[in-house]
Amino acid sequence: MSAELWYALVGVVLVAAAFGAFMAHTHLLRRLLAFNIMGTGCFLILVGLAQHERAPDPIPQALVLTGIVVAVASTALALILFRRWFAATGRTTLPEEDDG
Amino acid sequence: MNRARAFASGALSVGMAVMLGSAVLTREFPPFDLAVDLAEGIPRSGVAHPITAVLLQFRSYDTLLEIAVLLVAVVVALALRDPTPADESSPESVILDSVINTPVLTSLTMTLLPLMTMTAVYLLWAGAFQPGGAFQAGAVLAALGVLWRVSGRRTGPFAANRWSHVALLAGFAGFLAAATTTLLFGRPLLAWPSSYAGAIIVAIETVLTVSIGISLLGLFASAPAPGDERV
Repeated sequence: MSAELWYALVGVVLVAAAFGAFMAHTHLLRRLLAFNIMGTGCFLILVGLAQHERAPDPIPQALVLTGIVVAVASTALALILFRRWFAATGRTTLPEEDDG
Repeated sequence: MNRARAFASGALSVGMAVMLGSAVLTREFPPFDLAVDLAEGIPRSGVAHPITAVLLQFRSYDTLLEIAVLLVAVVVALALRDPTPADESSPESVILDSVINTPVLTSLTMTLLPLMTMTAVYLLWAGAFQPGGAFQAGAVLAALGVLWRVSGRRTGPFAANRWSHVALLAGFAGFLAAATTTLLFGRPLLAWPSSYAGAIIVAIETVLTVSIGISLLGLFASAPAPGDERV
């Protein structure tokens, strides 16, 4: 197995595992963590796949760099929202319609 | 977490792995090699490093939108700040609950201040020909700002002045101005003329560095302090 395929498959496992965790947990911090790991898996697939039998491709790398900055900004914003939500309601999960 | 939920999410997770994995394994290869096209384009881009060339020359639209996303995130974060009006008026009452007041941190911050500033400038300058650039330099500046804030300074960005808001806007506004100025000369959006490309990219990156640093710091600074349970 070539190295770039290995990176891509590790990325696939990360995305799938984080997707499962995102569905399974309701705690907002756990969901945010899962969401971030899912994003990291996507970045790994993007960067890994782009260099098949060729030199590393700078274009996906630049796109991933852009993605990382957006991910950091949105994570920070989500944390601020969670803190305000916790301060306002004292809850760590969002209300669910059919919580059973 | 109940059993049905755990089972459903496990099944979805496995399904996701199978679908994505098969997509990766059976993918088709593009008939062109973008890396080669890019390498041919580097000489007319104005910079020597391919990633910087992609970020600020060939795919600069992405970077423009990215700084816009960052700006929106900070504006929302600032809007969600503690609305107590007394805190806004005087620089003394900036929320300082998260301050770690030890002489070690204070002196360390003073030592790191010039070093980190120098590192940020170096990273910005290095971006033209090796890994580095506005985002890395901005992240270092933001880390410096976080240190400065945590060590209990009552001055600096987001204390009581309006300059931090100007610095927040400068990156996006400057980039947008540079992007649209090309239209006045009958060129497409964001298409810098080759002869000035290097200078324009350096200028944009410098403004972006300050803006990104201030934006990330703003996201940190607008989080409610620990233990602050006021509604």
